[in-house]
Amino acid sequence: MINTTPESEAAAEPTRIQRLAQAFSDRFDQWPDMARRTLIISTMLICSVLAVFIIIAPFELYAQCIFALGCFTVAMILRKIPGRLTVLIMIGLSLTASLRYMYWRLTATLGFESWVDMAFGYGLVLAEIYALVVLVFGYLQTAWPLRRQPVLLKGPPSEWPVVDVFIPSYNEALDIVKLTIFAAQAIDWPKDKLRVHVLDDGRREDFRDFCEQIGVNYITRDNNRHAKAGNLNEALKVTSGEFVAFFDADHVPTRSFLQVSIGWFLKDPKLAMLQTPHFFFSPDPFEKNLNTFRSVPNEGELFYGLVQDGNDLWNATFFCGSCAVLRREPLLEVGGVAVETVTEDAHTALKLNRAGYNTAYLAIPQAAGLATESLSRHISQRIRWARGMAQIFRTDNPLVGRGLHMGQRLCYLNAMLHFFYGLPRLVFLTAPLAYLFFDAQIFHATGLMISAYALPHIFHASLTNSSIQGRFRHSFWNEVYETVLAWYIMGPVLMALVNPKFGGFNVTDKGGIIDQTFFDWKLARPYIILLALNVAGMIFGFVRLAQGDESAVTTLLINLVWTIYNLIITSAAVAVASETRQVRSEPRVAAELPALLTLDDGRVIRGVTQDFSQKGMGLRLPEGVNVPQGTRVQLSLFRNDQPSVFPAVIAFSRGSLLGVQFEHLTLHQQSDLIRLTFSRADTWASTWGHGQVDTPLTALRAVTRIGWRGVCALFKATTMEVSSHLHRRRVAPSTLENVMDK
Amino acid sequence: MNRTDDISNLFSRFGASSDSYHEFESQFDYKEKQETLELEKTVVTLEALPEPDVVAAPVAEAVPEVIVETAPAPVVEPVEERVEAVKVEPQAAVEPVPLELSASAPVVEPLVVPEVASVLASPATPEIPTVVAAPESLAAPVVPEEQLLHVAAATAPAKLRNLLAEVIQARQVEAQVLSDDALRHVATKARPAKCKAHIVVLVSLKGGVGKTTLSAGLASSLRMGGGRTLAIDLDPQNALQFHLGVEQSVSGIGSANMAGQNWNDRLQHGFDGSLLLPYGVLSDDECHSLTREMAEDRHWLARHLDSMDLGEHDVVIIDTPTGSTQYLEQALDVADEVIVVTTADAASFITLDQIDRVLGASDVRPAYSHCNYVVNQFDGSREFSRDMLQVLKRRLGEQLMAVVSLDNTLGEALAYGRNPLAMAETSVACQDVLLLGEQLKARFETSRAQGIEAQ
Repeated sequence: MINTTPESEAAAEPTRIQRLAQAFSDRFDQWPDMARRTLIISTMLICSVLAVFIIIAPFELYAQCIFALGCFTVAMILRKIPGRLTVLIMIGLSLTASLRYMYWRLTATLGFESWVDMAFGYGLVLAEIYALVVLVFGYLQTAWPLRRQPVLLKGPPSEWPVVDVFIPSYNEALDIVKLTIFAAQAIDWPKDKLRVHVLDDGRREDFRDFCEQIGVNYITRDNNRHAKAGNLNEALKVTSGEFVAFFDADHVPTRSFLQVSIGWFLKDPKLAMLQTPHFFFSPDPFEKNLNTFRSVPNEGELFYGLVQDGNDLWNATFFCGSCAVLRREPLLEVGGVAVETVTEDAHTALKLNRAGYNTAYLAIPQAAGLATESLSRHISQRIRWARGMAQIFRTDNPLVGRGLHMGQRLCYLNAMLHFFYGLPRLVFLTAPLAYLFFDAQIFHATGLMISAYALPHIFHASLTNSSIQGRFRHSFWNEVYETVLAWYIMGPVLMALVNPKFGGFNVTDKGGIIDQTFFDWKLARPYIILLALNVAGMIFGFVRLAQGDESAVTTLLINLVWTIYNLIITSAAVAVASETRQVRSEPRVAAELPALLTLDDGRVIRGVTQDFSQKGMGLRLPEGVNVPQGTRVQLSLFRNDQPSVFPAVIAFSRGSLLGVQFEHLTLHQQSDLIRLTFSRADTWASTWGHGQVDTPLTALRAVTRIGWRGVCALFKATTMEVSSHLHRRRVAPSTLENVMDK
Repeated sequence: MNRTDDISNLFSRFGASSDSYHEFESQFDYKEKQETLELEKTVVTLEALPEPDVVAAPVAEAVPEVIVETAPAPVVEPVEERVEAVKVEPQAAVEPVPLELSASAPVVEPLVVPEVASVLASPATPEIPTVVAAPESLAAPVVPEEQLLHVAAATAPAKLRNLLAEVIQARQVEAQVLSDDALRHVATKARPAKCKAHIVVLVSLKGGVGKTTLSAGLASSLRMGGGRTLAIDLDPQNALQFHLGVEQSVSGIGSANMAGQNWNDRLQHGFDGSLLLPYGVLSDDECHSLTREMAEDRHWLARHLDSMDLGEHDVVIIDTPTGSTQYLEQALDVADEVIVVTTADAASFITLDQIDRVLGASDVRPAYSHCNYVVNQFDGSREFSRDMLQVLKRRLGEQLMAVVSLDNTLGEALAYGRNPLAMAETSVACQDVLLLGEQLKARFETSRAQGIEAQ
């Protein structure tokens, strides 16, 4: 089932326990097949029976409290011990708590008395079941990340295969795509075996000219059918390399990309697709508006850091459309890139897996790109993914059909289920209000019993997820990300479930600038409504608490705490809608490289770069050197001690810090510059997974602080809006994009 | 092949060695859009000017008049009027320029009139003449004042030198006698014992490669613990003293009036505590007598050094004149370390065979001496230089001791009488020189240690 074993794990000196375990498993391997299977099945049976007993054993309040406390203490101790085994035990504990809760919930709390109770109550239970299913599948997916290591190429370059590099583009600016094209050309691969193709669906003259100038292949077609997938498929027809590497127009590959990624294909002839992470060197709207770039892992990091690595164990790595290599033959065998759904990439991987091919994931960022610039674009991108996943769920459901084993089915299923979070998330954000406003008894149990069962479920789940995901997702941020998107994703997903053909494809255009800070009223509307409802609910609850209804104090308190938590999450979502002005249109990448600055008067100054962008560079010079602004200089950067020289002008100068702007670079110089900066092999990998590790309380504090900022921003924006309305000077500018693309 | 650190950084992340990585030095045939680039450049330069409308000035005939009127008398009013009058329609003036100049972009540079705004502000400043220097047709009338100053400065020492020469000539006969006496005194022809100090000789058969600059740099940077560092200038150009900041005219090794004196008494103090024995400004006759001395005594220099009582912590840097001369012979006779200074160009390269012959000849230098090469004035920004360096590396192998970058800081330091190494922090060449010094020092330390062991 497992297609590879991690090689690095065994590298360290084995401890005694490891040796014992190894000896046992070696002996076990020598047993006859039947005996082995019997042993496995009987062990599983015994465990299941035991688990069932643990899950359904009825406890009264105190017994349950003691049991829960015991489990939680064990979990708290375990999480301090690193290692895969502790994670597995924590998952076991968390599953015990959650399943006990769910069993109790379904058997003991559903005695609803009125229609209102029933409507709200069953709604909440369904949402909870969904959450539990996703939790369980999530554990399955991420319990044992494969952590695949690259296989390096052994043979001489003359034996390496031919690789076509596809750079599809539709409406991205040439300035951005240039970067990718130059970088693709600079990949360290035999020149006669590396074929770069720009697939221009926009059929733009400047692209054609540029490609001709630098000698890369320029491919167009006479229609735009099936958008990106169609574009790729057309290009597959006119190319012939054994492998195809895909890069979105704004994903810049490093020079080591192919030498790091091709090796596995040579080792595993059934391997059809190898995906590397999507890494972004500019902040996404969350990071930009909340100012969390590089301090809090972003939305995508969990997926590429952990989920894909976990999928890899089950041989169910998804293709993500870019930064990946595919073997041509299997790809053609499944009919090229899938065109039936709007997430053609994941669907293609599913087809490859169904056809019996392997897919792999290599968690080393070997390309980097621009994140979406504005919240509205970000949301529309996620809407596309969600819709696409729902389409696959409907048209090519991984649970049925041939060719997949159970692990693959569950991994694909979870990826799709994940995008159905819209409705459940909204249910959770409003559930306590049902009690606070309408006095609906959605939980038919005493407050204390609810706490004794629900709290272990919640705490264990958070704790375990924090241990598993700590490096790639901080606690509570998941809720923030989902809350922002929930409303927008819900509609398209439900609609795609009803009719998968509904809706078109939209390109996420990147590289725009938000030139002034503004509050995105239209996008924030759902969260503002949620926020208002929760505030009202809280006030309502406090009033009722003050009225002193003795019998309902615990229930009231539970609902109030829940409401306050919802308030924090929603206000953080509001903070995201406050679009921050972008100071630089050119995202800068930190890098310390030696550099020489030659001044007009012939002086040569040694410096160290601080960061680089496509058009400029930050430098630190030795103390006491001052080069005034506006000076023309020659900047030399080195590769193998060979300098490349770039003409530049000093754009700013403060103390020993300089900003230089490159000027009139020739094509050769542009290419060299990209080789020396964006193409460097280690830049992205060195910041990968090195973020701050999660601690739930710190994360809660951070989210609360951001929520407070959101409330302030909302208040400020309201005041300004009101005052401008009072003055009746002008109508609000139309800065909004149509999010619900049709 | 050499690998840049990014690959090894990446590979070390997954515990692999970067040895299996292949780098491809790809050469792409790009079709650069040369013309348009140049045009863009021209236009941008013009736009970047502080006052675009004044750019029109060089085109208009009125400009020379501006100079004529303003240069002699500081009159404020007329200038402003003139410049006002010169303000031709900006578009009309700017637009044709790129077309005319597209073929030769550099010509645009002189057109970039320095700060015409400042002319308006202070009309009678000496900056005005430079305004005229721009258009070629008008180049003749004015020589910038700074240049005039330079000419004057250059002539002054020449006169002084003539005067000095006369005085020296007058003393010449007397000196001749004295030096002959001294020569006879040391007429024992046996070679004195090996000097305890470490002696570095810088040589080159080609001029202008920076021997003197390097000598000065080493003299002021290379210092053994507790020892002195002496620089001896054997080059009749007598330039070393200026490199070490000894500006006044002083007598040196060849000066007749010092003949017979111990060299210790003639040491001058240079930058960074270095000691200097200049060549001195010699008359022809003094020069002749010096070379005759050398010709007669194969170990003339060794004898002089011997008489200086140098310790094992002392370092002597000897700068030699270009080419194969008696001075070179004398210097090689005492050398511990011979450093051949060369540059990464063809002219230097073709002298390498010759220098090999000179250095390889028997008895020309002590058997224990080492010979190394330093590539000086290396301009890494030129592809040709880099290629030449590769050629040199291949040819010289281990013997290539150091590469010193081209850096105008050094030249400027000489012009302003500054210590170049005072700016070592920021100057790459200085760093390179310091590094070279360190390398030599390390060699001395080991050779000294070996010497002690041998005893």
